[in-house]
Amino acid sequence: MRFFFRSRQFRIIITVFLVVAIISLSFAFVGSRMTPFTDVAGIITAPFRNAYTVIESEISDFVTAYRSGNELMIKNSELSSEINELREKVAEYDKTKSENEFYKKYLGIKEENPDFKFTPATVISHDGLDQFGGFTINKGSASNIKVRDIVISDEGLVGIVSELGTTTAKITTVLSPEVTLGALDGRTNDSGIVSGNIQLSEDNLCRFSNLSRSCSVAIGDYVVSSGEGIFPDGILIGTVSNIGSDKYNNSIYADIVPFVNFKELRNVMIITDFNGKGGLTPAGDK
Amino acid sequence: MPKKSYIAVNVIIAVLCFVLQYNRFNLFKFMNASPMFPLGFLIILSMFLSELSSFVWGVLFGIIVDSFSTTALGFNSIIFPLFAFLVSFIVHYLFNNNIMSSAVLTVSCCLVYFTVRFLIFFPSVSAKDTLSYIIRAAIPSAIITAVFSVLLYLFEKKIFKNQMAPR
Repeated sequence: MRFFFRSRQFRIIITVFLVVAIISLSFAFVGSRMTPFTDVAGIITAPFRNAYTVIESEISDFVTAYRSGNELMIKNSELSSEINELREKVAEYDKTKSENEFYKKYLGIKEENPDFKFTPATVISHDGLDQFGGFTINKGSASNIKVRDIVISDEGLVGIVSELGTTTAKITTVLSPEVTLGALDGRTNDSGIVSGNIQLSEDNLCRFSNLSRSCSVAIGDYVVSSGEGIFPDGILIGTVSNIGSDKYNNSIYADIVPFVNFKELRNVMIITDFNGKGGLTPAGDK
Repeated sequence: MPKKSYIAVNVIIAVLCFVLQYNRFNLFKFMNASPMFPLGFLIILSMFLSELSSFVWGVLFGIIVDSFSTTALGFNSIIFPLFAFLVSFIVHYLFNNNIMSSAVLTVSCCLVYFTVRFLIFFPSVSAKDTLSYIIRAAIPSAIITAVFSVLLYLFEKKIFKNQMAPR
C-alpha cells in the first residue's frame, strides 16, 4: 500500500483530480457557469438527448393512447379496428390542438405583456434525483439566456435558470427552497412570499407565507407574482389549497398547488427581458 | 473476451444507466427514493479495475452526470472520481471482492453522495428538513441502488472472471 502512494499512477490521479476540482470549483463560484468539461459534454450529448426526448414523448403518447384505447375496446370490442383508426386521428388532432393552444397562450401572455422577450425551449432531461422537479433545457448562453432568467410554461411560472452552458441550461423550479419570490393573492391582493421546502415538494406544493393575520386569503384563490425581486408581476403561480398559521401565531401561510405539472413539462418559454428586469438583483449577481 | 469488448459492454451498460436515470418516467422511483444508477454502476466497475482506470471512468461519469443533473456546478466531476478511486483502492487493499463488499460500498457511497449533495446545494434548509431528507429519501435511495448494484456485480464478475487487474 505504501508503494502505491509513491507510484507514478497515484501522482497522475492526484494531478488530474486537482485540475478537475480547481476548474470545477472556480467556474461554480464565478457566475453559476457550467464547467468547460460539463459544457462540452452537454454539447456532445445534446443531439442524442433531443432524439431521446422525442422517442420518450412518443412512448409516453403511445402508452396514453394504448390505455385509453383499452377502455374503449372493452366497451366496443366489435369496433376495435375503427377505434384504432379514430384514435390515431384523435392523437394527431390533439397534438396539433395542444401545440396551437400552447402558442396561443404564449401569444396571450405576449399581448398582455408586450415588454416580455421570450425564447422557446424544450425539456431534454428530467433529473430523477432532484426532489424539486428540476430539469435541463436545450437552450443556453448561445440563445442569449442568462442565469436567473425566468422560466414559464403556458400554465404558469416554472422557475429560474440556475446553471448555464453554451447549448443547455438547468432549471430550478418554484418547489425548491432556493427560489423565493414576492406574490399576491389574485382576488384580495394580500401580499406574501412564495418559496418551496423539502416536505411540501413531496406533495408537489409550495408555500405562500408571511401573510398578515388580517388577510382574507381563501382556498381556491389564484396566486400571482407581485413583481418584487427578479420576477415580473402578474405571472400565475398556483391555487391556494390549504391555509394555516405559523408556529408563533404571528402570520398566516397558505400552501399552493402550482398550475404547472413539472414532471409532464415538454416545452417552456424563457423570459429573457422585461421592463424592470435587473431592478433588484441578489447580492453577488452582476 | 478481448479488452475492447469489455469496454464496449461497459459503455453499453453505462448508457443504459444514464437512460434509466434521466427520463421523465422515473420507473424505479419508490415513494421519495430514487436510485442513482450511474453511481451504482461506477462503484461496481471500480471493484474490478485498477485505481487509475477506475479514476478515469469516474471522471467521465462525473462530467456526464454533471451535464444532466440540475444540482451540479462540477460537484459530480469531483465526487465521482473520488469514489471510483477509493472503492478500487479499498477493494484491492482492505476488502474482499465479494457481493457483500459491493452492497456495503454502494450503500456507503450513496449515503455520502446524497447527504453531501443535499448539504451543499440546499444550505438554507433546516436541520430537521435535512434529517427528514436523509431518512425518507437518502437511505431508501441508497438501498435501492445497492439492490441494482448487486445484480450488476454478479454480471461484472462473470465478464471479468479471469481479467482482474494484476496487483
